Amino acid sequence: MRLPSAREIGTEARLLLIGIPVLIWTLLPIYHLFLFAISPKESAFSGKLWPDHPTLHNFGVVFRQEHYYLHHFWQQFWNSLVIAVATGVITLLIATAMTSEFHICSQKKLR
Amino acid sequence: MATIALNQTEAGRTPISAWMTPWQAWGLILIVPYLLVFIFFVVYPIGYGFWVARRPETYAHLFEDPIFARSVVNTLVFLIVAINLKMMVALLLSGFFIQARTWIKWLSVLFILPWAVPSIPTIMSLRFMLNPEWGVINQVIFKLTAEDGPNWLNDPSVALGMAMLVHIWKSLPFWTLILIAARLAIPDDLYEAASVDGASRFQKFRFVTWPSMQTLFVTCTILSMIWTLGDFNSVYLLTGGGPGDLTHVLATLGIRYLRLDQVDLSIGAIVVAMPLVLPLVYFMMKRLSR
Repeated sequence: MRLPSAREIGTEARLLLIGIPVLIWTLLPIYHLFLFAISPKESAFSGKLWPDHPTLHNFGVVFRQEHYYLHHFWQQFWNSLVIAVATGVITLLIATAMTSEFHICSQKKLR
Repeated sequence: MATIALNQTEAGRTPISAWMTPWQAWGLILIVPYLLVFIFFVVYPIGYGFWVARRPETYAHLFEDPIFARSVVNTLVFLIVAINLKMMVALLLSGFFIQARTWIKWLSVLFILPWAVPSIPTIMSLRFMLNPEWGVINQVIFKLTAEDGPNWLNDPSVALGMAMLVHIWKSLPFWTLILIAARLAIPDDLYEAASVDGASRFQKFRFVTWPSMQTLFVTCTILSMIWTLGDFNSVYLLTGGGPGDLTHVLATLGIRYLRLDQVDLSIGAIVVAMPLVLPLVYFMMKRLSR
């Protein structure tokens, strides 16, 4: 294996110097969200960077629809799926149909 | 195949009546669904909005409200500072993300996350982070310095700054992606030629990258401004317009008046945003149709 030159190491270090702050900036709020998800109810607002007793209990509550607000969780999940897939497919269909129309129009213009 | 197509075209051109060929008739029929949607979901609501906010007293009332003046200023600050900062960072980051490294490819997958995740949970998460008493940020500050951190969302200018940061966090990936596409469209030959001529890295950016991207960059900035005028989430979910209604922007002001049961004022606040939006839209259309 060829050893990297000092110049290559310098370039890599500079790239890392940008990459690491970008990674932290991007993931911090999402990590914080995840922290809430795995914290027990009473320690969710403790402001710790890692909970003392991480738990998957919250996910169980959601999946088994055990909370008052979550009685229809799977129904709502299904609704999201239907909306996402249907808008995707219908938009693509209409947009494709319209581009072919535009294609004809632009060809007519050329003639 | 060609003859069939030709025959259809010829058939399409023979008129079925005095003013219309079958081609034109089909065109009309195909455009009807779009027109219906446009009338019901665009023309009718906007027309109704203007009708609700038709009285001049509404605007007199609106202009007397000090909160209104403040939110106009906030909106302008938001547009000028946040959008330009965001676009400049996006321009620099796009140069970073086109580097051919495997780890940068993986990083770009993670980087797109803020734009992809739903805004309500993430902005609430940021709001919890900034809580002065139990938020993660102030807890860390307390552990490191043994002093209380700043009361982030209680100072109007700091709170507005935080709302701008949230906006940047949320929409930076999208604009970076657009500018990455623009950078990738620049042919490599130009850079090679510049290298042969002994151009430095800055000169390559100044004389190759920037001239190829500037039109797109300005168009993106204007488009981002138009979209941000209606950026309700990052202000309302973070500060709720507070403290003391001092961080409202025009987009959230409508909800404030709605809460105060003044529907005409809330529509009026949106109508007043028109002088800001319309020149931007006009400028945008001019650029696009060039």
